Amino acid sequence: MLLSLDMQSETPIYVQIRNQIIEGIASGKLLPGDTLPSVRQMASDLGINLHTVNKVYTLLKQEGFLAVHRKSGVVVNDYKEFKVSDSFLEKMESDLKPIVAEAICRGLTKEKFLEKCLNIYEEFQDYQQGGKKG
Amino acid sequence: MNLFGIIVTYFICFFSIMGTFLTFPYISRKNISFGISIPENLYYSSEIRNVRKKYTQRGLAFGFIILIFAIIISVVLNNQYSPDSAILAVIPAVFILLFSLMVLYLNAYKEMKIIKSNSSWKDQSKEVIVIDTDFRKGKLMASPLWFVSYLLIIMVTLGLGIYFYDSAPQKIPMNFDFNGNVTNYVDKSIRVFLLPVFVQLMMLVVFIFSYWMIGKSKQQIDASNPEVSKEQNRMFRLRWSQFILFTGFIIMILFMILQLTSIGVLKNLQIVTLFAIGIPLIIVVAAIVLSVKTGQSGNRIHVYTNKTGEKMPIIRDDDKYWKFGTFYFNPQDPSLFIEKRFGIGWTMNFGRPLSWIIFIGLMLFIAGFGIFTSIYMK
Repeated sequence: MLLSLDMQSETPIYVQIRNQIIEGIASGKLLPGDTLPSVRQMASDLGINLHTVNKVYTLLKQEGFLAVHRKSGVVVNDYKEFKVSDSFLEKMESDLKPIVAEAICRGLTKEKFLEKCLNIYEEFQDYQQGGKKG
Repeated sequence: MNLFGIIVTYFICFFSIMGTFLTFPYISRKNISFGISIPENLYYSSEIRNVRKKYTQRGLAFGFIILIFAIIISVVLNNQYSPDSAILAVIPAVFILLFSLMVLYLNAYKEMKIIKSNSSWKDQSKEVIVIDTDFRKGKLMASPLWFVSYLLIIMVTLGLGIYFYDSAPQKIPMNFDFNGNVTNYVDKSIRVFLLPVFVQLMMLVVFIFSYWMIGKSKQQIDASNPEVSKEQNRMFRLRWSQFILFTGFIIMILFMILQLTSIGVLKNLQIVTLFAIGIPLIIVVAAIVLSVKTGQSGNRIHVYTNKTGEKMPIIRDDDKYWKFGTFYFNPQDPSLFIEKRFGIGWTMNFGRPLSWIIFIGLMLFIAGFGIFTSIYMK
């Protein structure tokens, strides 16, 4: 999978990497059992601090997306390891709140908002079903 | 060596040095010009083209002026004194040439810096880094099993020395001239037969290091066209690792041939001379062909793709880490090895202490080996 970081973005680099890995899993570009580069390797290729990559992997490990094995390195977990949980629903709600609020302030209709959400959701699904890997 | 030989030496030195340095701007990555990162689409703009043109024209002019002066000095020395004194002018002439090429590079570097600071490239472009998380799963390197063949050749070289020790002649030829005549003999001893083996072992270390360095080096994908660039980068490593393994292999063979000469099995010295000149020549020609065909980072390799690159020009603003556009110094970057900005090949991240340790270690190893052999053969 290609990982691209915008160095001028306001979003911290570790958040960008985390989001892209999750998007990769959602779209099926990363499948359970796929390996990711080691902390050192990824940091070296990106030219960033080791701690930044370490932070991403620790985070994704806690969230159940990745597993770090001694032998095989960083591996994408099986889907059942990151099923919807109560804590995710809570987090999603709190993340969505400001976005929905801003949409309402700017006068975006409920239909338009839901349409946008649906589009994004389906885009990931289409990718996954298309089986486009890499 | 006579005057004719000296003039030939001049031409070989000057053409190879000028040929190398004056083609660098044309085979380096297209998003870098004289050590300064630029938007790739401006590589062929008249402004940047002019910088290259000026560098090349001046380089040619300086080169020929230095060459003519040096030849005149050598001719005078030859007529006044001897051919031996005439050859003394070659080394300073080469240094003057290298120095003036360095000055020309620094000039172009400064000029590029000014062009960049007067431009609005930064505002018009994004700064994006792209990597492929599967990059190291592809075939990046030629098989390291080749090194096994090196060990076999080394063992054969050693075995030949031991096995033919008794039947070998009492005087062993050590130095040859270009016509295959022996210019220096040494007395037979076990040391003489071990020397090629030591050289082979030293070479083995150097080649394993080079191979390891290519494999370790940082993945550098051009964000404006990642699909093409990642394939070019992969091919670039693969081909250079193949080159390293091939070069090492024929050098190992060369020292085995020299051993065959020492033990008196290979008596035709003209054939030995042919190998001793031919093998380095093959290596140089192969390196030139490879450099021109692949370009730095593989930018001259044609890759077929149906995916199109990004519309937004990309500029990676890492000039501040490249001192004089040549030396990479970035303590934040964990990589040790990185592609050069000017020319072909790799350099080190001097912002990391480990790089210094490796660099100094390698220098000490090579210098130590030189000292060892000179003491050893006394």
